[in-house]
Amino acid sequence: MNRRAACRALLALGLYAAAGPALAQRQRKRYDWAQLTAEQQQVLAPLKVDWENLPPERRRKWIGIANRYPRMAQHEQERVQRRMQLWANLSPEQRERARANYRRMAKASAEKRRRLRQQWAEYLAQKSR
Amino acid sequence: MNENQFGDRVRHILNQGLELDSAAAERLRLARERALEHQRPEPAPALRWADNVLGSLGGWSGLSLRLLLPAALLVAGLLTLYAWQQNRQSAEIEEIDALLLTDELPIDAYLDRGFQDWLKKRAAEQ
Amino acid sequence: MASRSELEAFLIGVERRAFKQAVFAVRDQDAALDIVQDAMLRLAEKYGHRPVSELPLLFHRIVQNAIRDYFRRQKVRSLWTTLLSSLAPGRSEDDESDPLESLHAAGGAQAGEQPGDLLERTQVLEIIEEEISRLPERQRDAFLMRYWNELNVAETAQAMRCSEGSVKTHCSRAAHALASALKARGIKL
Repeated sequence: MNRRAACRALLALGLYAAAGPALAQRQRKRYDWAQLTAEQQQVLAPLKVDWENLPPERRRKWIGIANRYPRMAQHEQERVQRRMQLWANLSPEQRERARANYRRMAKASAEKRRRLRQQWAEYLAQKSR
Repeated sequence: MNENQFGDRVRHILNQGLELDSAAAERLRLARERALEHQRPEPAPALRWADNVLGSLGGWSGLSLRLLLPAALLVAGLLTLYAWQQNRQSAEIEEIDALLLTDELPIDAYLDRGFQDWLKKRAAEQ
Repeated sequence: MASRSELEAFLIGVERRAFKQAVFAVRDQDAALDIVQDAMLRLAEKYGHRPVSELPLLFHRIVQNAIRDYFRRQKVRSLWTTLLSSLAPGRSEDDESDPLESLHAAGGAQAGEQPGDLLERTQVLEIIEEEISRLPERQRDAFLMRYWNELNVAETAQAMRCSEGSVKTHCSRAAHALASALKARGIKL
């Protein structure tokens, strides 16, 4: 009887563990604009128009970024505000390419990274010439 | 007299012994009342499912359970791992996006194929 | 699932037999009452949601387990008693011989001289109960489940967690042992 009870409990536990992620998937919050806090809404204001079209997964990511926002330096906050809409409007492939390049270039030394900014300016100057 | 007939007669006689003294009868009644008060309604769905699985195996069937239980745990483990992986992936994307949005270089620098090629060419020249 | 009244009806139908069976096994009224009380509670708590048709089998298993638990506890207790009594001086007693048993045996020998049909019905009942309680545990379980609780061979096998073949063997041995014991005491059924 005890062995049976243990099996029963284990099986049930297994089912919960197995069904847990699936259930979480189904019951995943929709993160409607109205559900955001006032602070989150303020940070994410540039995305308000497009918010409805964002899938929940990406909404969740943006909420995560909004939550990091208060800890950013002021010039970083300004960058975020400026870039947010552009970033959200890129195609998934473009975003993936940018991330891949970032991952690669982020590995470079601090010195090289500092030079990158200068090189970008040089490149832009050559291009417009 | 065969076994069945013998059994029937024994039953008949044993049934006469079911008249209990009042103290024992009263204790049984109280025990029954108490048990009825503790009757559980339906168990949780997962427990019911486990009951069904165990039941469909014809009660305790050592071999099937020895196989089934690890299999169930393995599936649960894999699904948990998958969920964890998914979670980690979206956390990483959030991290990178936050960095991209705040980086020294504008997003265009990471998007522009020309710049990436130009950098490679420069690196090769030096 | 069994409704409250269905469970109640089931318990009323089965409780006295379960009590007697426990008495046959443990030979102690109070312990037997405890066993049945626990078994009823366990059935209601753990299996109260099962369909009525499954209850007899489940209940028998629970009672069997409760009886086994009782003996396990007894064994531990008697180990302590043995240890303690071996320390106490001047008392070497053989626990195996139960004075009650020899008393009954004497009465039985006396009764054996009379024709069975002259015995009071209650006496026949007492002797049968006594002989049943002397049967080996598995034989007694199988026999009582089959012929007193009227479970079929398959159900009995499931409740006892053994093959149908061994249920038949247990029953046949029990019936033969019981019949010859009764015959020896001058009782013909």
